Amino acid sequence: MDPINSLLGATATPNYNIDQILQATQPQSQPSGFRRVLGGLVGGIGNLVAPGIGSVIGNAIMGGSGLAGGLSTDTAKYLQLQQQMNVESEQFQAISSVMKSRHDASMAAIRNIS
Amino acid sequence: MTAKWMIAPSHEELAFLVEAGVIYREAGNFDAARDIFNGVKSLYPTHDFPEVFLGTVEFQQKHFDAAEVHYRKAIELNPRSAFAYAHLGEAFLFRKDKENARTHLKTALTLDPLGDFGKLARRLLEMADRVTFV
Repeated sequence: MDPINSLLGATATPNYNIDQILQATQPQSQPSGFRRVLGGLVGGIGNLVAPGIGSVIGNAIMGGSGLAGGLSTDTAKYLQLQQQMNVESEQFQAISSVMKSRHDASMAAIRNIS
Repeated sequence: MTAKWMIAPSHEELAFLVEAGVIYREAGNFDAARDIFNGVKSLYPTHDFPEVFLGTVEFQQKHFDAAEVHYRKAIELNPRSAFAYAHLGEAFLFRKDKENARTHLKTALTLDPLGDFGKLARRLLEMADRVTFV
């Protein structure tokens, strides 16, 4: 289940599980240190054999797209991520304000007891 | 009005009791919360608020049908209870029945447009518009 759907799942329960919401807004995992080092090495060696190609291969191992169209793919990915974060932020705010209003309503009921 | 055979607690004592129930509910000690609200209900059998609080205890446990029963009893006791209508709407919303939720939330908003119950209803209506339940 993608983060948005998992967040929506969280809102479908009355307990407004904050952990679930926070989990849904965690950044995507970065490539491991090993992959970064290996990418650098392979890229360096590759550049000795065929200049230019090594960088592409190294970048691909490090987790980048490594292709000419990579920039536009990354931009689209970041835009999608930003849009997703905006949606999640709005939903977080909506839930947060409902929780506050719920508490205020309980307190108002107590105040109004006569 | 309290039951005839009981000594009416002061407003402060009653507020303290209900707040304790709310704290138990929020802490997940639902049995203790239910005991307290049932006690308050014995003291104030004709008031709507103990029924609403009992409903919230059920709601918190995702027992939406049981919560609805309490909210409807509260509305029987006080047909102008914005507190009960707001929570009834909330129960419908979390049962993914947005249409009925909106109806009850709008009733709460009409009954208490400027107060805290109306505010809760407004926030829930906003949430209903923003959230797509899966």
